[in-house]
Amino acid sequence: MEARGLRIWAGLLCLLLSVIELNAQSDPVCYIANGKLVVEIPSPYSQRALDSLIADFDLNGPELRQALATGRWDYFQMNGWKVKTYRNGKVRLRRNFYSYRGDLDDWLSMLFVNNSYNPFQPGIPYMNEPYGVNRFNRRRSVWQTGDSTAVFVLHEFKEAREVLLSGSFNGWKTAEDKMLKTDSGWVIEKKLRPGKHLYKFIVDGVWKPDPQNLLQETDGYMGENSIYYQTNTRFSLEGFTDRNEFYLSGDFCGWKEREIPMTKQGNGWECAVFLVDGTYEYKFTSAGFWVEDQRNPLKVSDQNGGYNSVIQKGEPVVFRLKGFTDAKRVYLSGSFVNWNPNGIAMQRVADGWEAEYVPGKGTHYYKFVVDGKWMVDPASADSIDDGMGNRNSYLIHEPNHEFVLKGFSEAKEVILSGTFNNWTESGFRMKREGNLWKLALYLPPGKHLYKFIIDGKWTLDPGNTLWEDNEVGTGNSILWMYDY
Amino acid sequence: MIRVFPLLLMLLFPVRWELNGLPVAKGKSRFSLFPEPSPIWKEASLRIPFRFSGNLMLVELSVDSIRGDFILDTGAPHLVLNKTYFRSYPRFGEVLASGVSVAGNVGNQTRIGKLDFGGLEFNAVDADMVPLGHLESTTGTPIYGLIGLNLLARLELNIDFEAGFLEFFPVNRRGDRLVPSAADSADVELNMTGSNRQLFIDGSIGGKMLRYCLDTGAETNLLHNQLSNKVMQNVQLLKRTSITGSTGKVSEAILGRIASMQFGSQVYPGLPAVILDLNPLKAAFQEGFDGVLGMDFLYRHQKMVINLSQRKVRLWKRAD
Repeated sequence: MEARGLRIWAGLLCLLLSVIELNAQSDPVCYIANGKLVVEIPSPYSQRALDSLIADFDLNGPELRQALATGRWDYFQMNGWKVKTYRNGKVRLRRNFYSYRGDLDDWLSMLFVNNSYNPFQPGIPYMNEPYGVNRFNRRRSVWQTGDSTAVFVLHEFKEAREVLLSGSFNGWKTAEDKMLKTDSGWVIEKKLRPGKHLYKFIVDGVWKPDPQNLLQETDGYMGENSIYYQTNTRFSLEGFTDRNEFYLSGDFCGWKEREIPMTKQGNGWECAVFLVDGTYEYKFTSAGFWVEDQRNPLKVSDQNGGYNSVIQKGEPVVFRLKGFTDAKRVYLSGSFVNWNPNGIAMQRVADGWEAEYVPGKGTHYYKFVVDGKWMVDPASADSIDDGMGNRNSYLIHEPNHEFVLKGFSEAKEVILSGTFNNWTESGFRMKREGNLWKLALYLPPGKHLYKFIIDGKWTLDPGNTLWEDNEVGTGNSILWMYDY
Repeated sequence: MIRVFPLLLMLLFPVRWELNGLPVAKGKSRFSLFPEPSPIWKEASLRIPFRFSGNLMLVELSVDSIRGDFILDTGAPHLVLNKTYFRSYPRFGEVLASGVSVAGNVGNQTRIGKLDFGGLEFNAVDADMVPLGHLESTTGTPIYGLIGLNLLARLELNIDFEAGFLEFFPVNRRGDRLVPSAADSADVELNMTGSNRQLFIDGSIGGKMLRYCLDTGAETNLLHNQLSNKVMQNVQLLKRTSITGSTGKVSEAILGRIASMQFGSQVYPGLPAVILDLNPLKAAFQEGFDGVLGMDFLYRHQKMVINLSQRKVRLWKRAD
């Protein structure tokens, strides 16, 4: 009896397990077999796994779900899939790889097309925040000796035969900046513009990050580059020496409270910071206590009954709008205030409206907002299509390169177009100066391709020997902008 | 994002020679137009730093009076110059098409006076002159050319990935290093297969022996999609990506992970690979191969020594 009972229980258990098995959800899978791409969808399947499969393998989700629901696979069959459905509900889709059949050149070109410039690559400093502060061990290894000079010291490796300094400031040259051996280590003075600089030492041919510099970022290849900021702004706060610590905070660092430490100096606190050109608000803070810069008269409301101090780096620009004297409110808006319609309130002057602002170096796009109505700058002919059929005025502030086209004095119009404005044909209009056409732009470091459009005809820069082929066989002129 | 390599561009040339109806030697003599240049040593050996731009290894050197960064590319059979910077050089025979990024561009052969690494020189080196603008756009840095394999034919090269330098050593006729080296046995020692035009080595996936091109100019590993099921069972597919050319034509590639690859006695788990139809390349190569091992593979090593005279590649794995 007992054995019979056991058999019955075992049978029931098997039945239960098979029911569980039948209802168990499995994950759809994708694999390659016999050179073909195979998608296998079991039944029942996990919805979450199917969603993931659809996203990862770029399948047409709505069509796939509909086909699974209706059993009609016309769409997939029409798109080259061979479909097999099984009695247990499983579906197997199979198709050839989309292989390129044609000219090898073009096949190769495809492999390069999806490449895009990576701003994080080694060698080109990338700033995701508009400020920088140095951090060293006790033995500081880079000393700012002037606005545009710094001395690098490598205290270690005194037995080395040769040490070089290589970094973004010398184009990562590997044979240029030999350091001098002194009693305190290997030393070199470099001219540096204010900003972020990446560097390493090359000790007897071997790359070494600065052992005394606490700031590092990946060199993109499992190594580290040291980071040094040549500062351009010194903040100081008088008094409060009874406190143990003080910090600088502002919109440039997202108002983080303990981000930029100040050091006690004499009767107060100070810190040196690199700030990218622009306009910023800031305060000093210590353990929840906030204070504005009492020595800075430039301030704005902090919306809490107090003030934020304001610092402007770079050359100011005065925006003027003539007329509209009947308007109640006029604002300046643009790319430098994220197109906030109430970005910068303009002040009423005798013949119109005015606002002074430091937007930082570069090409800035802007409009005026007169009683809520957007308008381009009527006093400027410089406007550009925003790609959606609207025109914005633009301002090129503190340009770093001037394009010059000699001759073509009979031309009616010369447009500069290139990678820096997505090859816009209605782009930057050049200005005639005698026998020359000129336009100055601010361009970031890197490679820029460009052409002139002379009365509608795309033309290589005749004054530039550097050019490369393009897809229509007419070539593009090349301009390299360097960080050093 | 898939970044591919100068190796591929070199494959263009033989194809175009054929397309242009010029006499093409079969098999190994195909690249005989580019003899192996002899190194001239100013020092007993030479160590020079390289730097990475993306995953490409850049070496600073001079070609005559022009100084700039060149990519060390074991996938290229010989020296390649970027046409942008060498336009004034004499051109021999307009038979070599380039157009890696553009169909229809024409490249040329040329000959340089001196290639100078600083301590190691080569005189009268034949080179191809092609546009390399796409590489510059990818890396954001000027690329003056590619250092190909035939420049390494009569020396031994040590690439120290960890410390970031190249070391060149003179060798005798047997390929033995003239400067004695410290006893330092490699984790993997592989024999080159095929010709000296590319670095082919053998290794296995799922017990199946495959032939790979070892390419310092390749960012990632490539695997042919038509390998046997035994191989593919060891490849986990992660994501599909299609590659669209400027003409709108599409090729398919799938990012995957290889459960385990084996070279000699060493096992490499979890290597990434891009799976795609390599037939266009295989058709251009007269020697068949199953995939390409790029920097994703090489950077698992502390260093690699290439000795083409002895047809050996030695690899030292990184400490985990």
